Amino acid sequence: MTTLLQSLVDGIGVGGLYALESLGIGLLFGIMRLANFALGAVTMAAAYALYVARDLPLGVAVLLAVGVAVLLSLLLEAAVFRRMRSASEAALFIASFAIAFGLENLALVVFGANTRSFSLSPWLARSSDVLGLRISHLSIVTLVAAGTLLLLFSVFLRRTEVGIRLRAAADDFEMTALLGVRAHRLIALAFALSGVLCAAVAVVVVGQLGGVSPGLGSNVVVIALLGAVIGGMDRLSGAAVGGFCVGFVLSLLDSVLPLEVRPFRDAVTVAVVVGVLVFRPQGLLPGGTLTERV
Amino acid sequence: MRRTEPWLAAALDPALAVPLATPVLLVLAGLVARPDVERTVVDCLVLMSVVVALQLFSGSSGVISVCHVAFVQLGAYVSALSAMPEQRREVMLPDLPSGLAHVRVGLFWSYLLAALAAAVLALVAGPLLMRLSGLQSAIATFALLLATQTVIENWSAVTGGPGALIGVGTSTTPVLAGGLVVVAVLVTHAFARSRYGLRLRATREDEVAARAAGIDVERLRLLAFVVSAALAGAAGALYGHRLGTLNPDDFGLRLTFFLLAMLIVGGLRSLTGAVVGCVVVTALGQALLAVENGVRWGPVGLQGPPGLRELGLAALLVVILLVRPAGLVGGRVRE
Repeated sequence: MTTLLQSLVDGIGVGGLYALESLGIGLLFGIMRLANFALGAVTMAAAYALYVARDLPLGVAVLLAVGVAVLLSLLLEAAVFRRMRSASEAALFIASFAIAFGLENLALVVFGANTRSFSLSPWLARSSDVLGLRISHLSIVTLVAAGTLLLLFSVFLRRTEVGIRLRAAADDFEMTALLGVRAHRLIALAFALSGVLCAAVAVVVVGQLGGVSPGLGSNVVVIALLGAVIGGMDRLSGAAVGGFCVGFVLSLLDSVLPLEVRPFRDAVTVAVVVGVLVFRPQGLLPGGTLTERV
Repeated sequence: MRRTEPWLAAALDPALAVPLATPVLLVLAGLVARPDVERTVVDCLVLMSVVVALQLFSGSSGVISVCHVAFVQLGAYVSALSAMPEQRREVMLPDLPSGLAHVRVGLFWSYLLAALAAAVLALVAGPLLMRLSGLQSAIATFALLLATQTVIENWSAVTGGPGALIGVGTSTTPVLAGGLVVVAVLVTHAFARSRYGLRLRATREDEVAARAAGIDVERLRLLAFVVSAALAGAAGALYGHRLGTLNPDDFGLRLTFFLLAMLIVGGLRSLTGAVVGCVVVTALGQALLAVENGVRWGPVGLQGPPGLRELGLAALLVVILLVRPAGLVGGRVRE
């Protein structure tokens, strides 16, 4: 029983992590039909920022990571994606794939291929007893951070004017622009917010792995992307819920599946994704307005 | 005057000049070159067949496939395993199921087997994948790539698992690789000129109108997908027999990226584009690789860090997507 509870708690933590990254994907996809594979590279850049600032106080290091992620996202938007507004979804995806690949290799050039090990804070690595379960401080932080950020985002998107504009733009970008919302600023804002989410993911992943390597981001973004597809990329909640579900199920399968089947876990997951794409191409929780017209 | 035979007219099509002359020139270069240059030439030719195969599918249908590396990988393993001498196989893969342990075919038949295996995979996965377009298709084919990789990487009894499968042999020559490019170019050209190819192109320009005209979009796409997969599988067989050692890492996102770069840099819409893209990406990649390893021109020495090649190619791909989305030769060559 306790082991099951333990795996559930771990699963919720992992799910929350992927929900953050998937939310970033959903944010950009809704507004400019960009399934941003480069978010993985932004996450990786934030993780390297944490590494560079490893001797500074944790709060300062995290702020630095957020700054790097936001700046990089804005830079990518200004340099590449702003010039590709009229490109097809597939071309945008390939461009973001190329950027991710390039940045990953830039990290390889600058920092080398080896994992750079460091610890964010010794407290994170310890664990405490809560109600008879041994819960690591890291999974508490993951849960609290993911929960708080998702809550903040939902309040921001539902209650503030900018948030409502953002949701409107995610729903129907052209209409929103016609109604006088400043589209370019809104897109830049969405990129900046996705950067914040990436930085949060980077903190948690670095905490889990105890280090950073060039491939750190692409592992996360692949799963988050599949999650966003399953949930439905047109609605922010759909993407986030999808990311959560995939992360949760993967984490649970890791402790439930018999050992000999475990390596094939990812194959099962991607089969589910293909199934969802074929039978519910709009995702399990689709947005309201996206019916393709002739 | 006698009318020219239709097949002869098709073979003399000026659109084929560059796609056929390039592999021939590369083969000639490979025959006289140093061994390391010869390897580069063979690599370029093998990847050229895959890119031409990709062009067969994506060029006519307008649908991007990110999973052709899965076909290449499958072809490489099928061909390597079926052509490997039995004793060596016993040492390498002691747990091989007994039904497979004693199958051995000649090298040529192993290529055909590789093409067949890839075609079967495409035929099984295709009916689902072909219902999707645009981004969904890109993600779904990406998922197929991940699934194939996971299976090959973990099915240790048959594939050697995450470790390398050594002792495959390096039998692929420039002539063999060039021959496959010529076959791929002719097949692609014939397909694009056939009524199936023309109909498929109609679905690319306007899917709804094509459907309204009675074209079965999914079936046509599936046909192109299967033919394209078979070519990619055969190319994979040659690739495996050029590498000599099969490592699951050699068939991952990196190779996918190189193939996409080759296809898009040259131009998705024409065979000339596919071939030119291959040569440009290989040349730039080799130049950057030389810098990574350190080069000297007289007094000027240059030594770059590892990863430079990938970084340079990624930059090239992004610039092409921004500046010339139709590719280097896009728009200049008749389709």
